[in-house]
Amino acid sequence: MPASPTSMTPTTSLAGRLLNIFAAPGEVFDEIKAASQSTATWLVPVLIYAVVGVISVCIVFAQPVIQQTIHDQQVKAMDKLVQQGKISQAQEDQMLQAVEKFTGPTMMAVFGSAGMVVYSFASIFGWALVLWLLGYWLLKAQLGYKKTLEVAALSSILLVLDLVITTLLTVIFGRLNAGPSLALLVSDFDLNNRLHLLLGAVNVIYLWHAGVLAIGLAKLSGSSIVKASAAVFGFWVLVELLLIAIGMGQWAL
Amino acid sequence: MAKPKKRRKLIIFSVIGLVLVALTLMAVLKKRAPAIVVQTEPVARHSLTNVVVANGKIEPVVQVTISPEVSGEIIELPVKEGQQVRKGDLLVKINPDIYIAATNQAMANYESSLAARASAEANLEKAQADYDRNLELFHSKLISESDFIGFKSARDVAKAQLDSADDQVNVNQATLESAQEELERTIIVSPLDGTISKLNSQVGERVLGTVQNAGTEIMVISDLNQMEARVDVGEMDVVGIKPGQKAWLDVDAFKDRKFAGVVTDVASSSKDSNLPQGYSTGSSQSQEATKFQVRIRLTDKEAFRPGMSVSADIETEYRTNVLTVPLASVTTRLLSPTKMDPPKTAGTNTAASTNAAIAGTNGAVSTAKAKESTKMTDVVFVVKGDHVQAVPVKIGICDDNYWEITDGLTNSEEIVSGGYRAINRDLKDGSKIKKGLATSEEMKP
Repeated sequence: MPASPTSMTPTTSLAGRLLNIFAAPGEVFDEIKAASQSTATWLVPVLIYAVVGVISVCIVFAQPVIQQTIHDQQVKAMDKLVQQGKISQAQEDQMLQAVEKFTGPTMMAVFGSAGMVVYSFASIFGWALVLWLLGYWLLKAQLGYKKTLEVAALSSILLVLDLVITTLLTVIFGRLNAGPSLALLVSDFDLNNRLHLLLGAVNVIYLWHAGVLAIGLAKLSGSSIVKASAAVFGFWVLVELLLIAIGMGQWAL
Repeated sequence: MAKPKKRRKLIIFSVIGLVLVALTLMAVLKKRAPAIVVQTEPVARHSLTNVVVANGKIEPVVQVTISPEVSGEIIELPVKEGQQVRKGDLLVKINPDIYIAATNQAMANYESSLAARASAEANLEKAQADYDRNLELFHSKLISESDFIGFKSARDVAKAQLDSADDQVNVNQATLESAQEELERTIIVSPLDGTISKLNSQVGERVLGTVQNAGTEIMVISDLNQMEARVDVGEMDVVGIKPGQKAWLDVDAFKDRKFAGVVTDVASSSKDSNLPQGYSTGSSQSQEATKFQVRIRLTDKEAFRPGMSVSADIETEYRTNVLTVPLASVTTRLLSPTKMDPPKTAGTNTAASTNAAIAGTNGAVSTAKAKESTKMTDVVFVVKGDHVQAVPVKIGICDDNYWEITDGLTNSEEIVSGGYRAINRDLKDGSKIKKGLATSEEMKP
């Protein structure tokens, strides 16, 4: 008897899967669906995301122009409090001294790195939960959480690419929020400007990431790519607009 | 089927790889420095007045200290402090008793000397008559020579006694006149029209005369119609002050008013230079800055009193419609030799040895000029797009707000005028800038 086509298909290594996410994500997710659950499949990408995130934070906060920008923002915020009469000039001076002491480049890199590790785990687990919920409520499919976790983790390699590009753009342009988005067109990015935040949310890599997640959801649930894309992109757009609307736009970037 | 997939993968990875390589190269090659927030304004023309500020006191132009010439007890003092007096008014009467007694004694001595002279005249007359009579007898050989000599000597003695009596009369006359003068000096009258600005003594006090001492200062009379400010000016500023310059005076007792004045006198020597050579004023005073007194006549009338504190703004120089920059814009920097005026190059010369000699000399000149140019220079930061250029300038006079620029800037240039820290510490030639409002931190030195 000839071997069945599925048993003949060789399984790709984890490294191969991570690379194929860029060019052929459908094939990767087909393998994931057929294969048994594997901890390494989700843990390794998360760790890669966390490590690259830490390196990115350290590089960004080591830039003198970024340190100056953060310092200027802190001083401006303090000046605003003084103008509003909430604190006195002497209190502002004391607070600035304390801030400079505890938010130097090293401290910022330490806290930023810790935050990046937490965020990397949280974002992937979060996206896994979102995929599971979308599959259950919208696509009426019973997806295993661990499978969605593997899909979300493998897709996060795109976010690693985004981190690398954002870090390089930050070093080149010398400003925060210099990601591969329409925010590059804005010379004086203002976190309080909703239009700027909207432009920043239109990130090429985020759109690519959402597309790959949609492919993963379609493969796992067996539904059409159109339905899955509508679900994922719909959720993503909704969350971005909500965060920008309630004044937490920096989390939308 | 596999080949198109492989090609697609190759294309995608190639694009990603190219993007990453390009961005990495750009990040490595591009240097970023933080942009410094500054405030700017254009170079403008203003009229400037250079002002020297000095502090001092208001004093009368004419002020006389009354001290007695003779010592004694004050028995009459018909004036009080603040009273106006006219020239010749009685000020002080000193007890004349001893001076009256001295005058009487001198008079008696004088009259006694007159009597003595009369007696000497009579004696001389008698001795002369005896001499004349016995001269004839001596010539007739009726008396001896020794007898004749006796009469001659008697006449000579009488003559000498008369001379002595004459001298004694003169002495006694002079003594009498002196006693009379001292008696007159027990009454002191005002030498000028004025106001008793200070009264130190009272009736019954014993005062010392000025004959052999400094004398007791009984009172001070001042002409309060003409007042002047006597201010102390430092040695760096006094060279620019000349009589005739205008001044505006701030008197502490008359707030919110400024009084006009004119400089009338500038001291030729400092206050400390009046001390005798080798005199020590003590450790604290020896470290005080050297001051010169300048007198400013007040042209505005007001109820000034001697001793009032005053601050004077003396206008020493004027400039009309000159190029100016805000005071905060000018700072000092150590500029590289290329930023200073380059040394002039030598002309062409066909002789190689001459060329070499000239090149050697130019090298030495360049080295010398490089060493000279490494000193601190006054500069202003001129805005060039999003960078600044440190331009050396020559400054003239200044007022409270602006420096005159005599060389280095033109009318159309935009210069950095704030913040304080940026101009004095952070900015360098070529620094990247960003225009914005000064934060409280940037305004601090």
